[in-house]
Amino acid sequence: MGIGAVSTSQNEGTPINSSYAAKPLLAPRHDRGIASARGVQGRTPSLPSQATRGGRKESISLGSARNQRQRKGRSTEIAAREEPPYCNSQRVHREHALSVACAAARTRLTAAQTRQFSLQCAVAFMRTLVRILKLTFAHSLSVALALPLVPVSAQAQTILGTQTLSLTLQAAGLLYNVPGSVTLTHTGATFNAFTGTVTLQYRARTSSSGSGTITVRATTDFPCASGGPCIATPPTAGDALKYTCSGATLGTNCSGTQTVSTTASTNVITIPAAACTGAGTPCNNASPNTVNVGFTLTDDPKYKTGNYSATLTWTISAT
Amino acid sequence: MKNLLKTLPLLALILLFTASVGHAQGSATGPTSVSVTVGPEASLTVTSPTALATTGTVFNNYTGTTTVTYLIRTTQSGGTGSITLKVTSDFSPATGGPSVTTPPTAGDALKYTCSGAAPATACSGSQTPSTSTTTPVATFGADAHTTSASGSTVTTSWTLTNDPVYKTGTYSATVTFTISAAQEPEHECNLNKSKKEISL
Repeated sequence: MGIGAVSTSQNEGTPINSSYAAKPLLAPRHDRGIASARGVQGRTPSLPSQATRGGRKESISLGSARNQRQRKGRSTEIAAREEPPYCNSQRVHREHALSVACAAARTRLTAAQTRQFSLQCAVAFMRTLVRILKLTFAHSLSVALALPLVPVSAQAQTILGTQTLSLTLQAAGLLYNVPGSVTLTHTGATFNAFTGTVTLQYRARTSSSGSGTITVRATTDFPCASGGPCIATPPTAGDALKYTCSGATLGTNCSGTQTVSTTASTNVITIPAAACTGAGTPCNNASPNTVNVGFTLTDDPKYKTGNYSATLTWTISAT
Repeated sequence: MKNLLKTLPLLALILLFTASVGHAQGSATGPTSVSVTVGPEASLTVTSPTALATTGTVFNNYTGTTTVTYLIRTTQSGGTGSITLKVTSDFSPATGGPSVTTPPTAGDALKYTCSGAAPATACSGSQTPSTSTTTPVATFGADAHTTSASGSTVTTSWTLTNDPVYKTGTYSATVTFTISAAQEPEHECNLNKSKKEISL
Protein backbone atom coordinates (compact mmCIF):
# COMPACT_ATOMS: atom_id res chain seq x y z
CA MET A 1 0.00 0.00 0.00
CA GLY A 2 2.96 2.29 -0.11
CA ILE A 3 2.71 5.38 1.89
CA GLY A 4 -0.65 4.26 2.76
CA ALA A 5 1.24 1.97 5.02
CA VAL A 6 0.56 4.50 7.66
CA SER A 7 -2.88 3.32 7.63
CA THR A 8 -1.93 -0.16 6.79
CA SER A 9 -0.93 -0.40 10.36
CA GLN A 10 -4.51 -0.99 10.86
CA ASN A 11 -4.42 -3.89 8.58
CA GLU A 12 -1.31 -5.52 9.97
CA GLY A 13 -3.04 -7.31 12.65
CA THR A 14 -3.71 -4.42 14.90
CA PRO A 15 -7.27 -4.70 15.74
CA ILE A 16 -9.19 -1.64 15.26
CA ASN A 17 -12.09 -1.02 17.30
CA SER A 18 -13.40 2.00 15.69
CA SER A 19 -16.66 3.40 14.84
CA TYR A 20 -15.19 4.36 11.61
CA ALA A 21 -14.64 1.86 9.01
CA ALA A 22 -10.95 2.41 8.75
CA LYS A 23 -10.34 2.26 5.13
CA PRO A 24 -6.99 2.10 3.45
CA LEU A 25 -5.95 4.94 1.17
CA LEU A 26 -6.47 2.64 -1.74
CA ALA A 27 -10.10 2.25 -0.96
CA PRO A 28 -12.44 2.56 -3.89
CA ARG A 29 -13.73 5.94 -4.61
CA HIS A 30 -17.28 5.12 -3.81
CA ASP A 31 -16.19 3.94 -0.37
CA ARG A 32 -14.13 6.93 0.46
CA GLY A 33 -16.78 9.54 -0.05
CA ILE A 34 -14.10 12.11 0.13
CA ALA A 35 -16.45 14.98 -0.12
CA SER A 36 -18.29 13.76 2.89
CA ALA A 37 -15.23 12.78 4.95
CA ARG A 38 -14.56 14.70 8.05
CA GLY A 39 -12.72 17.86 7.50
CA VAL A 40 -13.32 17.82 3.87
CA GLN A 41 -17.04 18.16 3.72
CA GLY A 42 -18.34 20.27 0.86
CA ARG A 43 -15.04 20.49 -0.90
CA THR A 44 -14.31 19.40 -4.45
CA PRO A 45 -12.55 16.14 -4.65
CA SER A 46 -9.13 16.97 -3.40
CA LEU A 47 -7.08 15.28 -0.91
CA PRO A 48 -6.42 17.71 1.87
CA SER A 49 -3.00 17.87 3.26
CA GLN A 50 -4.50 18.26 6.65
CA ALA A 51 -7.33 16.51 8.31
CA THR A 52 -9.59 18.75 10.18
CA ARG A 53 -11.81 17.71 12.99
CA GLY A 54 -13.90 20.13 14.72
CA GLY A 55 -11.73 22.94 13.54
CA ARG A 56 -8.62 21.45 15.08
CA LYS A 57 -5.99 20.47 12.68
CA GLU A 58 -4.15 17.37 13.18
CA SER A 59 -1.11 16.37 11.32
CA ILE A 60 -0.25 12.89 10.36
CA SER A 61 3.33 11.92 10.25
CA LEU A 62 4.99 9.27 8.19
CA GLY A 63 7.59 8.22 10.66
CA SER A 64 8.27 4.58 11.07
CA ALA A 65 5.05 2.91 10.59
CA ARG A 66 6.04 -0.02 12.74
CA ASN A 67 7.33 2.12 15.59
CA GLN A 68 4.32 4.18 15.44
CA ARG A 69 2.19 1.13 15.59
CA GLN A 70 4.01 -0.28 18.50
CA ARG A 71 4.10 2.86 20.51
CA LYS A 72 0.73 4.13 19.85
CA GLY A 73 -1.51 1.34 19.24
CA ARG A 74 -4.36 3.00 20.94
CA SER A 75 -3.63 6.30 19.38
CA THR A 76 -3.74 4.48 16.16
CA GLU A 77 -7.13 3.26 17.07
CA ILE A 78 -8.13 6.75 18.04
CA ALA A 79 -6.58 8.09 14.89
CA ALA A 80 -8.45 5.56 12.94
CA ARG A 81 -11.57 6.71 14.66
CA GLU A 82 -10.88 10.40 14.40
CA GLU A 83 -8.93 10.88 11.22
CA PRO A 84 -10.48 11.01 7.83
CA PRO A 85 -10.94 7.52 6.59
CA TYR A 86 -8.39 7.94 3.82
CA CYS A 87 -5.63 9.08 6.19
CA ASN A 88 -4.76 7.36 9.33
CA SER A 89 -1.43 8.07 10.98
CA GLN A 90 0.24 9.48 14.05
CA ARG A 91 0.03 13.09 15.08
CA VAL A 92 3.75 13.74 14.61
CA HIS A 93 4.39 14.96 11.17
CA ARG A 94 0.81 14.35 10.60
CA GLU A 95 0.35 17.08 8.16
CA HIS A 96 3.32 16.14 6.16
CA ALA A 97 2.42 12.51 6.24
CA LEU A 98 -1.08 13.35 5.34
CA SER A 99 -0.02 15.48 2.48
CA VAL A 100 2.38 12.86 1.29
CA ALA A 101 -0.13 10.15 1.95
CA CYS A 102 -2.74 12.10 0.29
CA ALA A 103 -0.39 12.88 -2.51
CA ALA A 104 0.45 9.24 -2.75
CA ALA A 105 -3.13 8.34 -2.56
CA ARG A 106 -3.86 10.99 -5.10
CA THR A 107 -1.14 9.60 -7.21
CA ARG A 108 -2.38 6.08 -6.99
CA LEU A 109 -5.93 6.11 -5.96
CA THR A 110 -7.07 9.22 -7.62
CA ALA A 111 -5.25 9.05 -10.84
CA ALA A 112 -8.51 8.85 -12.57
CA GLN A 113 -9.88 11.43 -10.22
CA THR A 114 -6.89 13.62 -10.80
CA ARG A 115 -7.43 13.46 -14.51
CA GLN A 116 -11.05 14.22 -14.02
CA PHE A 117 -10.21 16.92 -11.55
CA SER A 118 -7.63 18.33 -13.89
CA LEU A 119 -10.08 18.18 -16.74
CA GLN A 120 -12.80 19.78 -14.71
CA CYS A 121 -10.43 22.42 -13.43
CA ALA A 122 -9.27 23.02 -16.99
CA VAL A 123 -12.83 23.33 -18.22
CA ALA A 124 -13.66 25.69 -15.40
CA PHE A 125 -10.55 27.66 -16.16
CA MET A 126 -11.39 27.92 -19.86
CA ARG A 127 -14.93 28.97 -19.12
CA THR A 128 -13.67 31.65 -16.84
CA LEU A 129 -11.19 32.77 -19.46
CA VAL A 130 -13.87 32.95 -22.11
CA ARG A 131 -16.09 35.00 -19.84
CA ILE A 132 -13.22 37.34 -19.15
CA LEU A 133 -12.48 37.72 -22.88
CA LYS A 134 -16.10 38.35 -23.69
CA LEU A 135 -16.39 40.96 -21.06
CA THR A 136 -13.15 42.56 -22.19
CA PHE A 137 -14.14 42.58 -25.87
CA ALA A 138 -17.61 43.89 -25.18
CA HIS A 139 -16.19 46.57 -23.02
CA SER A 140 -13.57 47.48 -25.59
CA LEU A 141 -16.12 47.50 -28.41
CA SER A 142 -18.49 49.63 -26.49
CA VAL A 143 -15.65 51.97 -25.70
CA ALA A 144 -14.59 51.99 -29.36
CA LEU A 145 -18.14 52.69 -30.47
CA ALA A 146 -18.66 55.23 -27.80
CA LEU A 147 -15.51 57.13 -28.57
CA PRO A 148 -16.73 58.53 -31.91
CA LEU A 149 -19.94 59.56 -30.22
CA VAL A 150 -18.11 61.67 -27.77
CA PRO A 151 -18.80 65.19 -28.86
CA VAL A 152 -15.83 66.95 -30.29
CA SER A 153 -16.72 69.75 -28.09
CA ALA A 154 -15.88 67.56 -25.25
CA GLN A 155 -12.25 68.24 -26.17
CA ALA A 156 -10.69 71.60 -25.99
CA GLN A 157 -9.74 73.10 -29.37
CA THR A 158 -6.73 75.17 -30.12
CA ILE A 159 -6.53 77.39 -33.16
CA LEU A 160 -3.17 76.69 -34.75
CA GLY A 161 -3.45 79.17 -37.61
CA THR A 162 -5.42 80.25 -40.66
CA GLN A 163 -5.06 79.42 -44.34
CA THR A 164 -6.54 81.04 -47.40
CA LEU A 165 -8.06 78.76 -50.04
CA SER A 166 -8.09 80.05 -53.60
CA LEU A 167 -9.53 78.54 -56.75
CA THR A 168 -8.91 79.49 -60.37
CA LEU A 169 -11.56 78.24 -62.77
CA GLN A 170 -10.21 77.54 -66.22
CA ALA A 171 -12.19 77.66 -69.41
CA ALA A 172 -13.48 74.20 -70.25
CA GLY A 173 -15.74 72.33 -72.62
CA LEU A 174 -16.90 68.72 -72.64
CA LEU A 175 -19.18 66.58 -74.78
CA TYR A 176 -21.57 64.16 -73.12
CA ASN A 177 -23.42 61.09 -74.37
CA VAL A 178 -22.16 61.46 -77.93
CA PRO A 179 -24.36 59.17 -80.08
CA GLY A 180 -22.37 56.17 -81.15
CA SER A 181 -24.12 55.88 -84.49
CA VAL A 182 -26.70 57.44 -86.82
CA THR A 183 -28.38 55.77 -89.80
CA LEU A 184 -29.25 57.79 -92.87
CA THR A 185 -32.52 56.68 -94.44
CA HIS A 186 -34.27 57.25 -97.70
CA THR A 187 -37.74 58.70 -97.70
CA GLY A 188 -40.11 60.19 -100.22
CA ALA A 189 -39.49 60.18 -103.95
CA THR A 190 -37.04 57.83 -105.60
CA PHE A 191 -33.45 59.00 -105.43
CA ASN A 192 -34.25 61.56 -102.74
CA ALA A 193 -31.26 62.28 -100.50
CA PHE A 194 -30.58 60.09 -97.46
CA THR A 195 -31.17 61.95 -94.18
CA GLY A 196 -30.51 61.57 -90.44
CA THR A 197 -30.18 63.71 -87.28
CA VAL A 198 -27.73 63.74 -84.36
CA THR A 199 -28.29 65.59 -81.06
CA LEU A 200 -25.14 66.61 -79.19
CA GLN A 201 -24.91 67.34 -75.45
CA TYR A 202 -22.20 69.60 -74.12
CA ARG A 203 -21.10 71.80 -71.23
CA ALA A 204 -18.80 74.77 -71.62
CA ARG A 205 -17.30 77.66 -69.77
CA THR A 206 -15.41 80.42 -71.58
CA SER A 207 -13.33 83.20 -70.16
CA SER A 208 -14.27 86.84 -70.31
CA SER A 209 -12.16 87.26 -73.43
CA GLY A 210 -12.32 83.76 -74.83
CA SER A 211 -14.61 81.65 -76.98
CA GLY A 212 -15.57 78.07 -77.72
CA THR A 213 -16.47 75.86 -80.64
CA ILE A 214 -17.83 72.47 -81.52
CA THR A 215 -16.55 71.12 -84.81
CA VAL A 216 -16.88 67.90 -86.77
CA ARG A 217 -14.61 66.04 -89.14
CA ALA A 218 -14.88 62.76 -91.01
CA THR A 219 -12.01 60.79 -89.49
CA THR A 220 -12.95 57.69 -91.50
CA ASP A 221 -14.48 57.96 -94.97
CA PHE A 222 -16.98 55.62 -96.61
CA PRO A 223 -15.27 52.75 -98.41
CA CYS A 224 -14.92 54.66 -101.64
CA ALA A 225 -13.41 51.72 -103.51
CA SER A 226 -16.64 49.82 -103.06
CA GLY A 227 -18.48 52.14 -105.41
CA GLY A 228 -20.71 53.65 -102.78
CA PRO A 229 -20.77 57.17 -101.37
CA CYS A 230 -17.44 58.83 -100.77
CA ILE A 231 -16.70 62.03 -98.89
CA ALA A 232 -13.20 62.65 -100.19
CA THR A 233 -13.81 61.71 -103.86
CA PRO A 234 -17.52 61.45 -104.62
CA PRO A 235 -18.45 59.57 -107.80
CA THR A 236 -20.28 62.61 -109.11
CA ALA A 237 -19.32 66.20 -108.54
CA GLY A 238 -21.87 67.54 -106.16
CA ASP A 239 -22.33 64.31 -104.24
CA ALA A 240 -21.67 65.16 -100.63
CA LEU A 241 -22.41 64.47 -96.99
CA LYS A 242 -23.79 67.75 -95.72
CA TYR A 243 -25.31 69.00 -92.50
CA THR A 244 -27.23 71.87 -90.96
CA CYS A 245 -27.26 72.97 -87.31
CA SER A 246 -30.25 74.01 -85.23
CA GLY A 247 -31.49 74.47 -81.69
CA ALA A 248 -28.23 75.27 -79.91
CA THR A 249 -29.01 76.18 -76.26
CA LEU A 250 -25.59 77.75 -75.78
CA GLY A 251 -23.75 79.43 -78.60
CA THR A 252 -24.62 80.11 -82.23
CA ASN A 253 -25.61 77.43 -84.76
CA CYS A 254 -23.51 76.96 -87.86
CA SER A 255 -24.80 79.02 -90.74
CA GLY A 256 -26.44 77.42 -93.77
CA THR A 257 -25.42 74.02 -95.11
CA GLN A 258 -22.00 72.70 -94.22
CA THR A 259 -20.13 69.99 -96.11
CA VAL A 260 -18.35 67.32 -94.10
CA SER A 261 -14.68 67.02 -94.89
CA THR A 262 -12.05 64.40 -94.21
CA THR A 263 -9.24 66.95 -94.14
CA ALA A 264 -10.61 69.83 -92.09
CA SER A 265 -12.98 70.31 -89.20
CA THR A 266 -16.12 72.23 -89.96
CA ASN A 267 -18.07 74.36 -87.55
CA VAL A 268 -21.16 73.21 -85.66
CA ILE A 269 -21.60 75.92 -82.99
CA THR A 270 -19.66 78.94 -81.80
CA ILE A 271 -19.66 79.78 -78.08
CA PRO A 272 -19.14 83.41 -77.11
CA ALA A 273 -16.96 84.86 -74.36
CA ALA A 274 -18.02 84.69 -70.71
CA ALA A 275 -20.43 81.89 -71.44
CA CYS A 276 -21.28 79.02 -69.17
CA THR A 277 -23.59 76.06 -68.89
CA GLY A 278 -26.27 75.94 -66.25
CA ALA A 279 -29.73 76.96 -65.21
CA GLY A 280 -30.19 80.20 -63.35
CA THR A 281 -27.82 83.10 -62.93
CA PRO A 282 -25.33 83.75 -64.46
CA CYS A 283 -25.58 81.09 -67.20
CA ASN A 284 -29.34 81.11 -67.70
CA ASN A 285 -29.52 78.09 -69.97
CA ALA A 286 -29.93 74.34 -69.80
CA SER A 287 -27.51 71.78 -68.42
CA PRO A 288 -26.29 70.08 -70.43
CA ASN A 289 -26.63 72.22 -73.52
CA THR A 290 -27.79 70.61 -76.77
CA VAL A 291 -27.63 71.19 -80.50
CA ASN A 292 -29.24 69.26 -83.37
CA VAL A 293 -27.23 68.37 -86.47
CA GLY A 294 -29.18 67.21 -89.55
CA PHE A 295 -27.27 65.22 -92.19
CA THR A 296 -28.08 64.72 -95.88
CA LEU A 297 -26.29 62.43 -98.31
CA THR A 298 -26.83 62.59 -102.06
CA ASP A 299 -28.54 59.49 -103.43
CA ASP A 300 -26.50 59.14 -106.57
CA PRO A 301 -27.68 56.39 -108.96
CA LYS A 302 -24.03 55.68 -109.47
CA TYR A 303 -23.76 54.28 -105.96
CA LYS A 304 -23.58 50.57 -106.02
CA THR A 305 -26.03 48.84 -103.75
CA GLY A 306 -24.75 47.86 -100.28
CA ASN A 307 -24.13 49.11 -96.72
CA TYR A 308 -21.63 51.85 -96.13
CA SER A 309 -20.31 53.58 -93.00
CA ALA A 310 -18.11 56.56 -92.17
CA THR A 311 -16.93 57.91 -88.80
CA LEU A 312 -17.37 61.50 -87.72
CA THR A 313 -15.45 62.93 -84.77
CA TRP A 314 -16.86 65.82 -82.78
CA THR A 315 -14.51 68.17 -80.93
CA ILE A 316 -15.30 70.83 -78.38
CA SER A 317 -12.87 73.50 -77.24
CA ALA A 318 -13.07 76.53 -74.98
CA THR A 319 -10.72 79.33 -74.07
CA MET B 1 -29.80 43.15 -37.52
CA LYS B 2 -29.43 40.20 -39.88
CA ASN B 3 -31.66 41.90 -42.42
CA LEU B 4 -29.63 45.06 -42.14
CA LEU B 5 -26.41 43.19 -42.77
CA LYS B 6 -27.96 41.57 -45.80
CA THR B 7 -29.30 44.85 -47.16
CA LEU B 8 -26.22 47.01 -46.69
CA PRO B 9 -24.14 45.50 -49.53
CA LEU B 10 -27.06 45.84 -51.94
CA LEU B 11 -27.60 49.46 -50.93
CA ALA B 12 -23.94 50.19 -51.43
CA LEU B 13 -24.05 48.68 -54.89
CA ILE B 14 -27.12 50.72 -55.82
CA LEU B 15 -25.57 53.94 -54.58
CA LEU B 16 -22.40 53.25 -56.50
CA PHE B 17 -24.31 52.62 -59.76
CA THR B 18 -26.54 55.68 -59.24
CA ALA B 19 -23.57 57.85 -58.59
CA SER B 20 -21.85 56.70 -61.74
CA VAL B 21 -24.97 57.26 -63.88
CA GLY B 22 -25.77 60.61 -62.37
CA HIS B 23 -22.36 62.00 -63.20
CA ALA B 24 -21.51 60.69 -66.70
CA GLN B 25 -18.00 61.29 -67.92
CA GLY B 26 -17.60 64.03 -70.50
CA SER B 27 -14.89 64.24 -73.09
CA ALA B 28 -13.39 66.78 -75.42
CA THR B 29 -14.05 64.59 -78.47
CA GLY B 30 -16.50 61.89 -79.43
CA PRO B 31 -17.06 59.64 -82.49
CA THR B 32 -20.29 58.97 -84.33
CA SER B 33 -20.61 56.30 -87.02
CA VAL B 34 -22.71 57.39 -89.99
CA SER B 35 -24.16 54.46 -91.90
CA VAL B 36 -26.37 54.17 -94.98
CA THR B 37 -27.90 51.28 -96.93
CA VAL B 38 -28.00 51.88 -100.67
CA GLY B 39 -30.63 49.75 -102.37
CA PRO B 40 -31.98 49.27 -105.91
CA GLU B 41 -34.00 52.22 -107.20
CA ALA B 42 -35.52 53.37 -110.51
CA SER B 43 -37.45 56.35 -111.77
CA LEU B 44 -38.43 57.83 -115.13
CA THR B 45 -40.00 60.81 -116.76
CA VAL B 46 -41.61 60.95 -120.24
CA THR B 47 -42.45 63.69 -122.67
CA SER B 48 -46.17 64.08 -122.98
CA PRO B 49 -48.24 64.37 -125.01
CA THR B 50 -46.86 62.66 -128.06
CA ALA B 51 -48.56 63.85 -131.23
CA LEU B 52 -48.94 61.40 -134.11
CA ALA B 53 -48.81 63.00 -137.52
CA THR B 54 -48.75 61.92 -141.09
CA THR B 55 -46.26 63.18 -143.54
CA GLY B 56 -45.40 62.52 -147.08
CA THR B 57 -47.67 60.51 -149.24
CA VAL B 58 -51.40 60.72 -148.63
CA PHE B 59 -52.66 58.04 -146.27
CA ASN B 60 -49.11 57.41 -145.02
CA ASN B 61 -49.13 56.06 -141.49
CA TYR B 62 -49.25 58.38 -138.56
CA THR B 63 -45.91 58.47 -136.70
CA GLY B 64 -44.48 59.92 -133.50
CA THR B 65 -41.82 59.33 -130.80
CA THR B 66 -41.84 59.24 -127.04
CA THR B 67 -38.63 59.79 -125.07
CA VAL B 68 -38.33 58.13 -121.72
CA THR B 69 -35.71 59.57 -119.32
CA TYR B 70 -34.87 57.25 -116.48
CA LEU B 71 -32.63 56.77 -113.43
CA ILE B 72 -31.90 53.27 -112.33
CA ARG B 73 -29.71 51.32 -109.90
CA THR B 74 -29.99 47.57 -109.79
CA THR B 75 -28.50 45.23 -107.23
CA GLN B 76 -24.88 44.35 -107.70
CA SER B 77 -25.56 40.64 -107.79
CA GLY B 78 -28.65 39.10 -109.38
CA GLY B 79 -30.42 42.41 -109.87
CA THR B 80 -32.66 43.17 -112.85
CA GLY B 81 -34.74 46.03 -114.20
CA SER B 82 -37.15 46.84 -117.00
CA ILE B 83 -39.21 49.53 -118.70
CA THR B 84 -42.59 48.44 -120.09
CA LEU B 85 -45.72 50.12 -121.43
CA LYS B 86 -49.41 49.45 -121.63
CA VAL B 87 -52.32 51.26 -123.30
CA THR B 88 -54.31 52.09 -120.24
CA SER B 89 -56.94 54.04 -122.19
CA ASP B 90 -57.88 53.27 -125.77
CA PHE B 91 -58.48 55.95 -128.35
CA SER B 92 -61.40 58.18 -127.66
CA PRO B 93 -63.93 58.85 -128.90
CA ALA B 94 -64.39 55.18 -129.35
CA THR B 95 -66.43 55.27 -132.51
CA GLY B 96 -65.36 56.22 -135.98
CA GLY B 97 -61.64 56.55 -135.32
CA PRO B 98 -58.65 54.33 -134.54
CA SER B 99 -58.84 51.69 -131.82
CA VAL B 100 -56.20 49.54 -130.15
CA THR B 101 -58.69 46.99 -129.01
CA THR B 102 -61.06 46.72 -132.01
CA PRO B 103 -59.61 48.38 -135.08
CA PRO B 104 -62.21 49.12 -137.76
CA THR B 105 -60.19 47.23 -140.31
CA ALA B 106 -58.21 44.08 -139.58
CA GLY B 107 -54.58 45.03 -139.72
CA ASP B 108 -55.09 48.54 -138.38
CA ALA B 109 -52.78 48.81 -135.40
CA LEU B 110 -50.82 51.07 -133.17
CA LYS B 111 -47.23 49.78 -133.11
CA TYR B 112 -43.87 50.93 -131.74
CA THR B 113 -40.17 50.26 -131.89
CA CYS B 114 -37.55 50.97 -129.21
CA SER B 115 -34.08 52.48 -129.19
CA GLY B 116 -31.72 53.34 -126.38
CA ALA B 117 -28.17 53.16 -125.04
CA ALA B 118 -26.61 51.40 -122.04
CA PRO B 119 -27.35 50.59 -119.37
CA ALA B 120 -30.65 49.80 -121.12
CA THR B 121 -31.20 47.02 -123.59
CA ALA B 122 -33.95 48.31 -125.91
CA CYS B 123 -36.78 46.09 -127.10
CA SER B 124 -36.19 44.45 -130.45
CA GLY B 125 -38.43 44.61 -133.50
CA SER B 126 -41.92 46.12 -133.78
CA GLN B 127 -44.10 45.82 -130.73
CA THR B 128 -47.88 46.00 -130.65
CA PRO B 129 -49.17 47.61 -127.47
CA SER B 130 -52.10 46.15 -125.71
CA THR B 131 -54.79 47.37 -123.42
CA SER B 132 -54.62 44.16 -121.42
CA THR B 133 -50.90 43.42 -121.00
CA THR B 134 -47.61 45.31 -120.78
CA THR B 135 -45.14 45.19 -123.58
CA PRO B 136 -41.38 45.71 -123.23
CA VAL B 137 -39.49 48.87 -123.90
CA ALA B 138 -36.08 48.19 -122.25
CA THR B 139 -34.45 45.76 -119.87
CA PHE B 140 -31.54 46.08 -117.39
CA GLY B 141 -29.17 43.57 -115.85
CA ALA B 142 -27.38 43.34 -112.48
CA ASP B 143 -25.42 46.33 -111.18
CA ALA B 144 -26.94 48.66 -113.76
CA HIS B 145 -26.50 52.34 -113.01
CA THR B 146 -27.54 55.50 -114.70
CA THR B 147 -24.28 57.22 -115.50
CA SER B 148 -25.57 60.75 -115.50
CA ALA B 149 -27.33 62.54 -112.74
CA SER B 150 -29.71 63.91 -115.30
CA GLY B 151 -30.67 60.38 -116.28
CA SER B 152 -30.48 58.11 -119.31
CA THR B 153 -33.04 57.79 -122.11
CA VAL B 154 -34.85 55.27 -124.27
CA THR B 155 -37.10 56.18 -127.21
CA THR B 156 -40.29 54.56 -128.48
CA SER B 157 -41.25 55.29 -132.12
CA TRP B 158 -45.01 54.97 -132.81
CA THR B 159 -46.83 54.14 -136.02
CA LEU B 160 -50.58 54.11 -136.52
CA THR B 161 -52.29 52.89 -139.65
CA ASN B 162 -53.95 55.78 -141.59
CA ASP B 163 -57.17 53.94 -142.49
CA PRO B 164 -59.52 55.87 -144.79
CA VAL B 165 -62.35 54.34 -142.77
CA TYR B 166 -61.42 56.62 -139.90
CA LYS B 167 -63.77 59.52 -139.55
CA THR B 168 -62.15 62.89 -139.25
CA GLY B 169 -61.55 64.22 -135.74
CA THR B 170 -59.10 64.25 -132.86
CA TYR B 171 -58.51 61.00 -131.02
CA SER B 172 -56.44 60.34 -127.91
CA ALA B 173 -55.18 57.26 -126.06
CA THR B 174 -53.20 56.94 -122.85
CA VAL B 175 -50.02 54.87 -122.63
CA THR B 176 -48.41 54.15 -119.25
CA PHE B 177 -44.68 53.48 -118.98
CA THR B 178 -43.38 51.56 -115.97
CA ILE B 179 -39.77 51.23 -114.80
CA SER B 180 -38.69 48.76 -112.12
CA ALA B 181 -35.52 47.60 -110.42
CA ALA B 182 -35.50 44.39 -108.41
CA GLN B 183 -33.03 42.45 -106.24
CA GLU B 184 -34.41 39.18 -107.59
CA PRO B 185 -36.03 38.21 -110.83
CA GLU B 186 -39.06 40.43 -111.20
CA HIS B 187 -41.60 39.81 -108.51
CA GLU B 188 -44.58 41.93 -107.69
CA CYS B 189 -43.53 42.43 -104.08
CA ASN B 190 -39.94 43.46 -104.80
CA LEU B 191 -40.46 45.85 -107.67
CA ASN B 192 -39.43 49.44 -107.31
CA LYS B 193 -41.78 50.92 -109.79
CA SER B 194 -42.32 54.24 -111.36
CA LYS B 195 -45.10 54.94 -113.74
CA LYS B 196 -45.74 57.72 -116.16
CA GLU B 197 -48.58 58.22 -118.59
CA ILE B 198 -48.61 59.84 -121.97
CA SER B 199 -51.34 60.77 -124.29
CA LEU B 200 -51.15 59.84 -127.92
